Amino acid sequence: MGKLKVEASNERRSTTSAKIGSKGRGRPIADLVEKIERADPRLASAAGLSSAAMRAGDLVRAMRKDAGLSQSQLADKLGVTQARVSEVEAGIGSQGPTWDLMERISVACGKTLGVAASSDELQLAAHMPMAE
Amino acid sequence: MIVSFEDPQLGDASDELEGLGHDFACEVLLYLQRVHSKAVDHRTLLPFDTYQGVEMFHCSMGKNKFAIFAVEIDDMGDLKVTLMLAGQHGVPMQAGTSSWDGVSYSSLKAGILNARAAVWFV
Repeated sequence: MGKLKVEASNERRSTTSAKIGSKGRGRPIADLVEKIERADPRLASAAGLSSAAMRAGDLVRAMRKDAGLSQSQLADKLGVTQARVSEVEAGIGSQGPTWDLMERISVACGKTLGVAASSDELQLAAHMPMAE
Repeated sequence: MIVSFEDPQLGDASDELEGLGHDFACEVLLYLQRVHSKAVDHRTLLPFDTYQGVEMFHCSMGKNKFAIFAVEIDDMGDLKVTLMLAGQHGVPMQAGTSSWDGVSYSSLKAGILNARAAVWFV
């Protein structure tokens, strides 16, 4: 990091939310990271980027939102900091969250975590608890 | 969530970023992660452009390569970061009926960026 230039503002603005939005639009950026990993695995790893960590982060965010929890509320349930939840959701790091943490998150969100294996890939999926 | 703009007519920001080289792409992606996790407070950054209240920011490396990303905040305070465009100064761009001469940021804002924002933020 450090090569990138972004112009700073003279003062910190207050938070505003626009009346319009992109809603569910957009291709996950993990798709691009995956392309880079395939073309140049050492570069992505050295940079600290992981498509798997990003996809896990997207899943955590989806589970949390579905449970109606804020990052702080989920952090309290897990006994970690809000910053840690934020890092996980952003997919920061080349390793991603451990399976143990993912299971704890899913339980905190009232979900059951499962792994579906196909011939050439593993897919991580969260499922709603089965109706009793 | 971090996503990239894509539209059948107006192009694909992810492909644009990859086309500028993996080193630059990694730098931009790492920065977007920092914005998304709030390690970088986007409210301390100078907006490059604003579309009906949605702020967009410009990041660059060296003299030529740049990327533009938008930041949205939902009711729970969570951020959504969208890579809107990636390009290179001196290299013209075409997206749908809009074009950029590769020189003037004003025309980039009024042309391709505005066209993309109009279909993205509704």
